Order: sequence, then structure tokens, then C-alpha cells
Amino acid sequence: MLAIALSNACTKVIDIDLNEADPKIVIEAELVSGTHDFTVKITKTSDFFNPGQPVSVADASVFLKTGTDSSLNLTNDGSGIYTLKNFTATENTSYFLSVTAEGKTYEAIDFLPKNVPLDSLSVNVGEKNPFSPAGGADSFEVVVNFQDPLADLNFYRIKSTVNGTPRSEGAKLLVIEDRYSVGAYFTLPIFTDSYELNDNVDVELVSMSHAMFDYFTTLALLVDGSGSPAPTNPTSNWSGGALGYFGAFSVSKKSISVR
Amino acid sequence: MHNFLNSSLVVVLVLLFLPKISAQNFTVSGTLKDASNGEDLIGATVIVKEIPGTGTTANTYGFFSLTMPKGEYTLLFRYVGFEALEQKITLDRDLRLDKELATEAGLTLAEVVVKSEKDNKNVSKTEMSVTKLDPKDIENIPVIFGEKDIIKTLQLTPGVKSAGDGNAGFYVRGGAVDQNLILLDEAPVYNASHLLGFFSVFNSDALKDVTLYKGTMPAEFGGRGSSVLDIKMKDGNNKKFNASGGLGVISSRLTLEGPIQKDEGSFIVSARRTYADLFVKLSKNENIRNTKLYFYDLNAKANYRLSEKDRLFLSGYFGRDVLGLSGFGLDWGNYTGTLRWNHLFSDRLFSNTSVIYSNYDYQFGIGVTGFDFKVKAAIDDINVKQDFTFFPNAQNTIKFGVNFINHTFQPTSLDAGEFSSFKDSKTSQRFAYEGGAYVQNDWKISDRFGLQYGVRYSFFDYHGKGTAYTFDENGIKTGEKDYKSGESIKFYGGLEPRLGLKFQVDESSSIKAGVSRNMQFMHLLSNATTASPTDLWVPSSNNVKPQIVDQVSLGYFRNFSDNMFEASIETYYKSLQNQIDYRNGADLTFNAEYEGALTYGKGIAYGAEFFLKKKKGRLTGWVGYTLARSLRKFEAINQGDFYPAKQDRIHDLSIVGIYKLSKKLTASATWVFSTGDAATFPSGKYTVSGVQTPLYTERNGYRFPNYHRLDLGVTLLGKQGKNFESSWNFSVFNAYARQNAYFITFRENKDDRSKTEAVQTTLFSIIPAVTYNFKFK
Repeated sequence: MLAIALSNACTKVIDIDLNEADPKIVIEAELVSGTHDFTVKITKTSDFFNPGQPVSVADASVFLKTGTDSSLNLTNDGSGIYTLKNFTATENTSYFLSVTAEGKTYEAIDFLPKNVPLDSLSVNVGEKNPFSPAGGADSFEVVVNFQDPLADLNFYRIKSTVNGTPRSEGAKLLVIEDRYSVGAYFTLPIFTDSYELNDNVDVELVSMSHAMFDYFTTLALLVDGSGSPAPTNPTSNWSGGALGYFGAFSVSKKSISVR
Repeated sequence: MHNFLNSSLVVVLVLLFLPKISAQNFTVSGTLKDASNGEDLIGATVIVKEIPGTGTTANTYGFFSLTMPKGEYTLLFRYVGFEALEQKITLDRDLRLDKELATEAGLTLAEVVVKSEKDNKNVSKTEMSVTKLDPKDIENIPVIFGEKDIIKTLQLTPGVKSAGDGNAGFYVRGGAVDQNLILLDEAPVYNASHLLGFFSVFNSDALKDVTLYKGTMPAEFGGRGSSVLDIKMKDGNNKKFNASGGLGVISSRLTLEGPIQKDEGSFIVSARRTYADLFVKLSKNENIRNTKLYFYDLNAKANYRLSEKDRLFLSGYFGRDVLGLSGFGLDWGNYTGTLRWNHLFSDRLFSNTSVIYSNYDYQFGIGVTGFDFKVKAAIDDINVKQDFTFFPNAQNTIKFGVNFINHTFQPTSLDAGEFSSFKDSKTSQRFAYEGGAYVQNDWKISDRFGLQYGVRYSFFDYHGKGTAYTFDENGIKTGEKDYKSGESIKFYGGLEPRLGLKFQVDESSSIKAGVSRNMQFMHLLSNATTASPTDLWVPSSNNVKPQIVDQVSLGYFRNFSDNMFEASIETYYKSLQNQIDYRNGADLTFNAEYEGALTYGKGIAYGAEFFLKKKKGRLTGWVGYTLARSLRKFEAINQGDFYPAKQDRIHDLSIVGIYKLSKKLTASATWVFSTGDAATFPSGKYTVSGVQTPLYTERNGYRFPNYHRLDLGVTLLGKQGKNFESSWNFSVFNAYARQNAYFITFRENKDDRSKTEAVQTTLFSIIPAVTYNFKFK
């Protein structure tokens, strides 16, 4: 009877009148250790139900600074993307990013942590994981194995792609911390996704700062559908009320084929 | 604790102001019982015909005492649904009168009796903002799955709102769910929900009396801001053995009761268990077969009269929910125990001493390899109470007493499995003492005026052994300090005045007013959108101040057509201090420093409650309408402006109708309507890190769709023999299958991924149910 009642639970699409908010600035910047092009993307928020084309902010000035070094200007390509070519980011360093757009200045600092190597990937067959979407006997699980450093608190995001594309369209974030497992050897199933036979899975173990962990955990609360009694915008490290984040990451990658 | 002195002083003052008792006075006292089963008649009235406006009410144990000048009197004993009893007495010495009242001829148990001990008691009593339910009354009111439930029925009365489908929590006059003190035989019940909230833990077969105080609470109660739900268990039939029970679609019930020694003592045992899991075992799928989903509860009570002056009661409640899916388990439950000793120091001084134990705990675990852990949390109370009732004369009833509680809190703590990636995270226990002393007088000043005045002193001592943390205004830890066992970390105390006034305009109408303060030292932190067994009770501390709720209320009460109709309008205004909310992205689980995730603010709540009840005739029932607001103000939320609390439902309407078609057949219907809950929805969106992210601009700026629902029921009496009775109850919950919003989420449109749509999830559509009830006697 109860099962009937629960399966009775149903969903439908409804109309809700939402207030239109004034568009706000969104700044997304990811700095990865090593030598890469560093890009900053500046856009504006759009209508919730019918966003249309994203509005980019093309007339900002952006510069990056570290320690006592002089600031480096990012070049504007006119489409809201700002680039610093072949920039070398180093671990254990704080970076400062400043954006001036439409007469307002937004600033953020992030710490690029030491890389934690991804030891290996393994595949579990038919593991009955209550959290995995497929759950049943035919699902495969990819397990991430790595040694958490004993020294201090670490924060990780695990990203995976299957044959080059994210399985869950980026909507599911797997973000973890070692607060309860400092120095443990992690054998962590990627429980946010399930995999099929012959999938080529690329996995990134992203080490990040506490500030980025806060950003992605609060972002995950918003987008994973579980809902919160009092949803708020993710905890951003931008001053001045800009949305988005400035994150400095070190990344360790491995690949595996599901057999 | 020197503040105790203050309260003692108040006691002395109250006693001094009492009218002098002359030596010519004598006392008539005794107990009032139901002639059929010996149950005490709580609140039965004793009226002195010769002196209008005097009289008294039997207390929780059926005891009454009246002291009057020497003379000849006619006493009238009344209790609704019972034959009134008249007795002439010559009061020239102290008298003892134990009376048993018989149910009115032609009334059967299953019949609708709308309780009001005296026909116009709602008008004539000084207390206001009180809702009383007789568990017998609710039998005909249709409920979900046919499981009659006092909490669901209370939600149909004005000022009391359901916390939503599938949720046993309730809001009283704009207060939060944790602001209700729920007492079962004086023991606090910390989580009143079964099956994740579909039902309450109260098995109405075992209950005798249910009283909800929404406004000025009697001074004997303290510790919660908004209401007291005082539930009394049956004592058991002390005349003869009885077995009754019911078979329902979700659960079955069985109650056994009988005398321990005829007229001197009795016992009752009432048990209930769901059996969905028994069918699950028949499944061919191993995963489904291993699913566990059940709850049980057991109420047990015994009482024995040791002498004319002494009576002992022992009662207990044991309930547990077990939920297990493959690799995942969750179970929780309450245990309570109450040992009480009634003693008559004299025929005018009644004493009750209680020792009370109360425990709530939950645990959940995940058993996936490499990922296994178990999480536990609990709260455990030992409570000692001493209450006195003093009956100086026919105009005054004085209550005074003290109580002391030893609280032990076990915040969520994590046990990792042997091969788990997790490590143990044991949060240490937290300790507190809570206590109070009170005095209150119910004074019938004249025919027209009544005054109930009292004061309570409450204190809370959060003490070691433990670590206290300090935080800056952004919730960042700034320091910590260890305290020795028993060493006070933070002490709170304060006076709570309680005042009620009645002016009787005429026989059928009155105006009442009340003023009260309530302090609350324990707070419920919720990890989820809806109430959940894993919500966490935490103590006030150096960071968390006690909640303080002040309330003023004013009401007009009037009965019509020879008390066939009862009507009232009550208005109230409440100010709430030290309310708790979460900082953005708050993480409360396994977090010894959870206090850093909290932020504090204030609130106001105000409203008007309209109530019209028809008590007699073939058609009975009521209409209740509440027009109310409940607002909060936090510096960190909505730029410090007032915003609606989740439970800010502006309109709330309940209609209950019960129609007696024939001697055997009764039909009933209820319809409820309320404004949708306040909710936070996005006002825009943007994409970061490949994730479509909603933009929020204000807390609770939107509303759920309005809630409405019709429930229907039919009760058919079977054979009503001398030794056996039975009845069938059919009900349809949500008869027109209204899709009420349980929650609302947003997702990408499948055809056009640039678009977003709002999706509403409904928990319960139309649900029919049938229950068979029986009684051997």
C-alpha cells in the first residue's frame, strides 16, 4: 500500500511567474598549474526560463598578479573572453585577479595547492551502489585510488568524461574533502555517474583551495536537484557581488577502459 | 540559581494576597471517574448550585477539592457525554466524595461526541487559545491511509497548520516546528513522526486526553516558544478485561486493558505495527526482498491505588522506525518512561511527583565497500518534577512546583567501517541542566471576572565536560576553550509571566485576554528541506541564545442556540527573539563547530482566528479560518528586511462536517485550503564551469501554489453486542486528486536545452483506505 502511495507521487511541469532580476556580472576564471593559456570569461545573467543568447561583457579590463610581481594584463578578443597566452602557474602560490567592468572593480584571490597524484583507476562490476543512477547488476563503477597527504586539509573535485564528453552534462559535481580522512588512502567510486562496457573514461583529480571547495559544494547544493530550504547563490570568492569564481587548480589525470 | 529566591518570594506574595480562610470552612474533595471503565475524568466540572460562579474542575488525575463555609449545598457533577449527577451535601465537616459518572443512555463509543465538559465551558473558563481533542472524537474524521491521528486532526483547527503532506510536524501561530513542546504523560517526545513523517507516533487507541495550548500556557509548562501539546495516556479499564483493535491497510493495532485489582488499579498495553515489509518478502527481486520499511510502537501503563491518599502510575512509550534499502539503512525512535506518585497531603493539597526519562536517537549507515560508515545522534533526558495543587477555597486554585532536567546531547558522530575511506569522527557529547519553578493562581473573582496569573522562572545551564567555541561575525572560528565536567559554560535564566483575564458579558458570551512570555533553550537544526529524522536537537550555548517568544492575545467567545453553536474570534501578536537560521552553504553534519554555520535574527507573527462549531444534531463539525502572517528579519538575509517565514500562510481554512445518516452509518468530509508556503525561487540564470546555475536574489520571495484537498469518510457500525462491537471505516484522502506541490524543482527542457521549466512533485494523489475495528469486552 505504501509502495502504491509512493509510486503515486507524480510530477508535472507548472507555470511560475518569476520576477526579472537586473542582469548581474558573472566572472569565470580557471588557472591550472603548468603552462597554459589562462582565460577569463565575463558574461551577464539572463532570464531564467528563456535565457536566449548569453550576453558577454566585452569592454572590461582584466589583470593577474602574484606576490610582488608586476601585474599582467589579459587581452580582450571582443567576445567577453580575456586571455593571457602561455602563462606558467606554479603550485603553492596565491594569485590575485582584478576585473574592472562597467565602472566597477571586482577582485578575487585563490591559492593554487600542491598536486595530489591520482594513483590509479579501477572498475567495479555490478557493484550495488544505492547512489548510482543505474544501481542494478549491469552497471559499472569507476573507482579513483589516491593517497591523501597527511600534512594538511585537502579539497578535491573529481571530473570524468566518457569518450570525450561529460556523462552527466556537468550537472553533477563530485566534490570531496579529507576532513574525516586526513592521510587516508582513498578508494572512491565515482558515484555520481555510471558507466557502460567499452566506455573510455578520462578522470581528473582536481586539487583546489578551501574557497573553491566552498564554491563547488554550494553550487552542487543548487544544481543536484535535492533542493535546499533556503537556496542562495554559491559562495563566490569575488568581491563586489560578482557571480562565478576565480579558481586555481592542480590537476592529475588518468584514463581507463571499462572491460 | 539565586534567582530561585525571587520565585519563592513570588509564591509567598501570592499566598499572602489570598482571601483569609475562616475557621468555619470545610472541604469536600474526591475523585471523578467513568463508571464504565474507571478512567479519571480529566476536567470534569463540579458546580455548587447555591453559589453561582463557584465550582471547580477535576485535575489531570480526576481529583477535585472545594472549600466552602459550613452549610447545605447541592453539587452538580458534569462531564460531556455523561449523565450529570446531582448530590446534596451537608458541609459541617470535611467530606470525601468519590463519584462515578455514567455515559448518557443511547450513546455508544463510536458516536461523535464533541467535547466541552460543560456546554458553555469555552465561554466561561478563563483560559483561552486552547484546543481540546477527545481521541474518541476523531474516529469519524477521514485521514490518510485511514490511520486516525490526533496531530492530523489538530491541524484542522485554527492557528494550527500542517507542515505539509508527508510531514507530522505542525506550526502553531506562525512558530516553527521545534517550538512545540510535545508531552506524552509528561515526557517530552522529540520526534513525533513515523515513516519519515507520514504519521505521528501517537496511537490514539492508547490516549485519553489531548490538549493544545496555543497562547497563554499555564505556568507549569516551559521550554518551548509556541505551544504545548499535552497528551495523556489512558489508565486502563479497572472494572473488567477488554481487548480491542483494528486492521488497516498500513498497520494493525491491538490494545489490552484490565484491572490489576478491581477499582484499585489497572493496566493498558497498546501496540501498533505496519506490515508493508511482510509483503516485500514475497518479492522475487532480491533487492526488494531485502528492503526494510516498518515502524512499531508500544504504549504501556499501569496504575495502582496504594491508599486513599496515594496512587502510583508507571507509563512508557517505545517506538521505532526501520528503513533499509540495499546498502543503506536508517532507523530512529523515541523511548519515554514516566513514574508518578500522587499524594494527598490534605484534602486541599494535592501533590504529584514525577520521574521522567526521555530519549530520541537515530542512526543511518551506508554499507558500500570502501565507502561504509555509520552515523549516530541522540538526545537523552532525565527529568524530575514536583507539582502541587492547593485548593484554598471555592474561588482560587493555586498550582506551584519545580522541575529539573538533565540533558545529554550526542551530536552526529561518524563510525567508519574497517575498509572505509572515511575516518571516525566522534563529536563529543554536550551536557546541560534545565529547570524551572512556577506558581499560578486561577481566581474566580466574581460571576463575571476571572483571572489566571502566574510566573515561571526557567533556567538553562550549558556545562562541561566539553569544548566551547567562539566565532566572529562571519562564522569563522576565533577560539576554543575546554571546560571540566560540570563546569558551567553558559547560564541563562529568566522570568516568564503568564496572565489571562476573562470578562463574562452574559451567560453565552465572554471576552478574554492573555499575555505571556516563553523561553526556549533547545533548538532543532534541519539538514533538509522537509522535516527529517536526522534533524538535530542542539542546546543553547555561549553562541546560541535562548529563543524568547512574547505573545498578547485577545478573544471574543460566544455560543448560540442553547450552546448548539460555539463561536470565537481570537487575535494574537507575537514577538520572537533570537531566531536561528543558517548561513549560506551551511554544513551541519558531523560538525562539532556547527554553531559557526548559524546566524541569528528576530521575527513577528500576528493573526486572527475564526472558529464556528456545531456541537449537536445530526450534522456536527466546524469551520476554522485563520488570517495570519509570520515574518523574520536577519541581517544577512534580504538586506536585513523582513521576509516571510516558510510557514507564512496568509489564508488557512478548514471545514469539517460529520453527518449521522442512521444509527449505524456516519458520513464525514473535510476540506482544507491554504495559501502556498513561502519559497525561494531563482530570478535569473547563468552558466559557470559548464553548469547552468540559477540566480537567487531574495529569500522566500515566491509562493508555492495554493494547497487544497477534500477527504471523505464513512463509518459503518457492525454488531454492537454485549460482549463484542465492531465497525468499518472507509476513507478517501484527496478525493478530487488535487496535485498539491510537495516540492518544486527546475530542469532543462528536454527539447530545447536553452530553456528551463519548473517541475512540481506531488506526494499524495487520491488514496482510498479501509479499516476494521473491533472490541471484545
